[in-house]
Amino acid sequence: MNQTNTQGFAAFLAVGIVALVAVGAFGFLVVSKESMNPLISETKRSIDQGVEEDTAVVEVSSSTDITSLEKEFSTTTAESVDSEFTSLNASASSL
Amino acid sequence: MKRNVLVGVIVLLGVSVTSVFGMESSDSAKTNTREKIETARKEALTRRTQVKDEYKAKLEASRTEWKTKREEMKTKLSKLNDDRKQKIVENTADRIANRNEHWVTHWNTILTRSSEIVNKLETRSQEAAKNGKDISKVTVAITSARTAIETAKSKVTVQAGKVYTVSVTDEASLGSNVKAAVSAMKVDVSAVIESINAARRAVQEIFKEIKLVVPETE
Repeated sequence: MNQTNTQGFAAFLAVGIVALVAVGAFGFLVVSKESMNPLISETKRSIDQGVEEDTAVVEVSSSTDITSLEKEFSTTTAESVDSEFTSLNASASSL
Repeated sequence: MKRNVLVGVIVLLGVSVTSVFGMESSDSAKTNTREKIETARKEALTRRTQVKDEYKAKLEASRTEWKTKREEMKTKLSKLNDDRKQKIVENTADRIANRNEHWVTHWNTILTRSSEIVNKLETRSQEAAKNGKDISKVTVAITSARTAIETAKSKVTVQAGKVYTVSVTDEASLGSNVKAAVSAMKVDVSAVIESINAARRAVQEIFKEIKLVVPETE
């Protein structure tokens, strides 16, 4: 009788521990996967930043690879002002 | 049997507690780094907002100033006999004001875009650092680029507040007076463009350094 009770208690403990370890392992996997994925982290950061800054004026792609960023940067150039000054000086010369 | 079960439970609890403490200390280090990055980001955000507000205020003030000065100029021009010259001066003065506003808006946009690109490069370099790469030179380049961008933004803000007026005295001096206004603007604009180019070179330096640490194919 006493042996049956002990076995029942042991089985109960074993099931409880297995359940706890399983829940802990699942939680750990979910949290570590999110923090290790740079894209998820970056997206979250961008969203937070977007909400805080309220700066929807400047559109920059979500890409973080160097080649894409370099291409994007190559198009981020100041336009030429020379022709406008030539034109303004021509107007002044006509006076 | 009971003893074996108890030993098993104690061992499992021990393993769990050790792993939890291990995770906590690792989490604590991560939290500190995140907090530092977050603080730096918030400070940069505050600075950026201040610069943006200052820029908007300057632009608005220069618009108001230009309206007043334009009316004064028109009154003086109306006293001249040559209608053709009146129109040329008026149109040229308007173009100077419009171009200045267009350019400062354009420069502000490209500098903000450059800042965003620098932020992304920083994120990329931090990922590389997590993988054990030495990013010290990239970090130095990022700091220099941010300083150069802020300097250029300040110059753009100052330029946003500039108003170029054409002095109207007599018909004979109209041409030279318009040229003087155009020339003054050209000097200021060239200085702003030089600071924007300096910021651009600084960002290019980040690309040069980061490519040595992070292969382009990654």
